[in-house]
Amino acid sequence: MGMTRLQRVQQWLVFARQWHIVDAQGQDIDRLGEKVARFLKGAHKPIYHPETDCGDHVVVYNCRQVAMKGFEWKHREYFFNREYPRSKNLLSAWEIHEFDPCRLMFLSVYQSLGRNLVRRRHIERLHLFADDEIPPRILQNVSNQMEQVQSVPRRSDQISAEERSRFPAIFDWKEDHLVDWEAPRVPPAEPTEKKK
Amino acid sequence: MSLLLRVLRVLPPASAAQSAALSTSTPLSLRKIQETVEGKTTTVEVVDVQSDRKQKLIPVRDEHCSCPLCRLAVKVSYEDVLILEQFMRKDGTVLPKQLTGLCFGQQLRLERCVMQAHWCGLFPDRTLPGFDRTGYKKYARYWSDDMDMYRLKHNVVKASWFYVKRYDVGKGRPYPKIPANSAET
Repeated sequence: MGMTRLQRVQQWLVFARQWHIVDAQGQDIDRLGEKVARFLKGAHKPIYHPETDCGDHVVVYNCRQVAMKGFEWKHREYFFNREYPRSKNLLSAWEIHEFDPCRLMFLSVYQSLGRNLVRRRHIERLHLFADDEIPPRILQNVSNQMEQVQSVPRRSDQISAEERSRFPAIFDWKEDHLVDWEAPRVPPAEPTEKKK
Repeated sequence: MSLLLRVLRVLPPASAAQSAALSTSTPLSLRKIQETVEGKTTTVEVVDVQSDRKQKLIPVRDEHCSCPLCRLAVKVSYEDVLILEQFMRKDGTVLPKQLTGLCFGQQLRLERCVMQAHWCGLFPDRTLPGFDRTGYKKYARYWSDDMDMYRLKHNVVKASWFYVKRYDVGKGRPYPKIPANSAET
């Protein structure tokens, strides 16, 4: 069985240090962290072994727009403890994210890499960017765009009028429907306090 | 005799008195309040208008529930912006079920989905002006179900202080190890 040209290039790529890029906009931070950690370790390669140094570089951009489920931004708290006096700290996720938009993505990937000695070497190949501005010396190495872990819903202003007109109507108004009933309701004015 | 009774029951009570002619279908007409000013006289009248939904309406199937969302073979979620906005006013509030014809359960489901869509910022042009987007509410979120808002869980994650920070992530941050926009080609 000889190799085809494509298979030969794939073989080179497996043994090379590849660069992947992924857009974190609207992606779940845990699932994206697990996927990125898989690529950093090289676990997606057939030659993977924990002691083999076969990990890839991963560039994650738009870290500021990373998503959490429901009210997790408020209800998830991170406990930092360096085991020195007065070094314990409990911070909610959105406070950390507000100070440094890349820190939570880093924490998610670092935990997904597992508790081992090589994870500090693997995490050095992670490149995080808060926005979509990536310096060209990083971007010139990138050879692959990773698939996102979930689809991002479209906003109503991103849908064109042509597509909106093609979309079927779910229901029609009842008989003798007054069109003015659909108008926005004006909230009643707040009662003013009488001066005594 | 029973046939005649059934015919009489089919007829709406108002039209039975006015017109003696039997009709198999009642004409659907929407109305609209119109004000016209001619000189000094202002005429306020109710005018018939055509529904713009009539041409693209999904046909009704005979099911146990005849409400528009029950007969739709789709479980509506917060991502279905084009479905949700048909049940909404211009300011993003949900129309009452007396106007839309939804059943009780579907109306609650729809209100949850619309609220989730508002929280995700999917209706930026239909939001009430005082909608709160401060603090944790300004960051992106998603939902896997319409009941997710009731499944609250407070969890504490053990975090690591170890952090490799090589790039300048914002203004005034003291990490100039490698400037972010240096182009080396």
